[in-house]
Amino acid sequence: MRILPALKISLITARRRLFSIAIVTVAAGVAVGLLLATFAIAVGFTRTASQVANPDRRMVIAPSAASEGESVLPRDVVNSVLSRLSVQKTAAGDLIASPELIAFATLEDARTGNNVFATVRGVGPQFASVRPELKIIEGRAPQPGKRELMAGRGIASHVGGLKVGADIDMPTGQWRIVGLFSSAGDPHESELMGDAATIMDAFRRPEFNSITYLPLPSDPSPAALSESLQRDGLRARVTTESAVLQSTYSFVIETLNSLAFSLGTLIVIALVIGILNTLLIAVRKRSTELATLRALGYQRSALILSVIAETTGCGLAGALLGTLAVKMLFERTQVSFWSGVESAQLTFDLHIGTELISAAVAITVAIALAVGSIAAVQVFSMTPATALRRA
Amino acid sequence: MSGEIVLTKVSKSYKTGAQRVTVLENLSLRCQRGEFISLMGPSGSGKTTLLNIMAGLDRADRGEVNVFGTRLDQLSDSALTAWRSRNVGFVFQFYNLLPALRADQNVEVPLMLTRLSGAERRKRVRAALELVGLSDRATHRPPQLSGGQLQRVAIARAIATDANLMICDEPTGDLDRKASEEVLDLLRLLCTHHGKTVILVTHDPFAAAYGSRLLMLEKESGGAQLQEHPRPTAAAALKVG
Repeated sequence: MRILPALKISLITARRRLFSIAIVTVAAGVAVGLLLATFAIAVGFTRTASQVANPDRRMVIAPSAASEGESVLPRDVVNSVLSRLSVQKTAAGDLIASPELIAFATLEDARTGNNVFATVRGVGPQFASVRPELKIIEGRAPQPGKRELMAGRGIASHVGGLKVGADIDMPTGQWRIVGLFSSAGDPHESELMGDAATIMDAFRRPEFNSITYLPLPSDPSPAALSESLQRDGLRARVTTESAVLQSTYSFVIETLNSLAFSLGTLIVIALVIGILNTLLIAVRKRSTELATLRALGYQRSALILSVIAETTGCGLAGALLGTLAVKMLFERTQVSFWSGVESAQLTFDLHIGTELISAAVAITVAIALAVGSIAAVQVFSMTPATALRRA
Repeated sequence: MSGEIVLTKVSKSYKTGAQRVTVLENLSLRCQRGEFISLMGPSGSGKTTLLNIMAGLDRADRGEVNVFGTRLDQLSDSALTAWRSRNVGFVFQFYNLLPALRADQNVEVPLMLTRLSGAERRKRVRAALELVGLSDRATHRPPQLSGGQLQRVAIARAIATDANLMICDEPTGDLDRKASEEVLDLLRLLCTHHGKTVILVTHDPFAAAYGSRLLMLEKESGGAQLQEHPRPTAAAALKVG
């Protein structure tokens, strides 16, 4: 079977099929673009929500709580728990542990005037040792006893007016932003952070939500520790920070993934319908040409492959163009989405990664190939004599 | 290679809806290499079907089809396609040229299946276009050519591979008298001077008069039958026309 002559003729006669070629290419490009954008949101959220710089870092929360927000740890419980854990210490001998609480506040976006719900985290004095990946990129850390906060990179870019030196109105009064921080792309970048004692006082919260700490190698497993604490009558459970993040954001992650798959399926169906119709019309328009070529001695299989090659080529070209467009438009764009924790939002970067691109392009090309095959086989199912008679 | 086309008790029927229609029934035919056969008959008598079977475009349901020593009825689909590319030149009623290709590119289409070099293919294309008198139209596309010119390009395409059998299905059906004469003169030239076997299907007695033999397909209830008739003289054909 010689396919090159059939391909060559296909290429030369393509000028008469520019409309159908454009339709298939554009449809493929739009499909890939939509698939990438849809899944980029789900992937970006999941990536940020699951981001943990140190997988060994542990968290203590209430036994029945699935997230920090559901957990309540009274001060005495916190003190008792800390005395039972094998916790790393600083050079000065302080435990590398941070009892923390989270509160929620409504802020006004200075750019849009819209209300934005923000997570406000009160952290212990050793928060920087517990989270060495947290870097202050502008200004300084808040001081204990002062109504000062530092804003994560994510929330600062999302909410207008969150800059160093700015005063923000919160339900508990005015607070000053004294610093901005980054945190290796984890969910804390969507938070405001301040001194725990000050926040507890301002928000009238007498209890903590969690303790985050760095364990010593000798620290027993979280399950063993939890059992031991509860045996001692302490209502506390030890787990890993990554497990808490997973359960905190699981609902939104699952929802976004379901939405992405549902939308992705619709996009694929629309693509199939759109290009199948176009291809059937285009191939039927070529029926005289193809029947003549068969009469002249071009093998049916070579002609089928040339039709499929043209369709697949258009699909691939469209997919690559769609990828380029989405990369240029959306790569590194910041998106804020409901985090599933009260009404707070999680800010994350859209990242159109290689795996996502490969999957989207592969799906689109596979569809173009399959649809092209259907169209080609339909046309070539008759004998040359019948095809010529019908042409 | 045998010098004959021999069809022995060939039958062909088609399914139309729920019915099966017999077009040819136990039809036999013999013609020699280098003959110019005119094939006539009423509409629906099976002329094109018979032509297609001889050309390897269609298969008989029963019977033997031997074209220059090759049993077409025993070849696979791909073998039949390959055989056509080497042995048959087609001239269709509506030319069936590829509109996006120039005249020379159209002539080159069957040559692209050969193992000839580009230079050799171009040489053959030039020779074929010269034979049909269209050397000066080589770079024209079909929309720029008249009906007669289009059919001559089709003939050039048919002879480019030096095929021995020329299958012509109503080649003058869409042409005026002058253009028809040019085309028919060419076909006769190919037969008498180049030894091609020409099978011409036509409704036109004038065109049929160009053949050395006239075969009539007569429709019968059990399928068409072939009868040899005296070929019309040119004068009689002109009078009828």
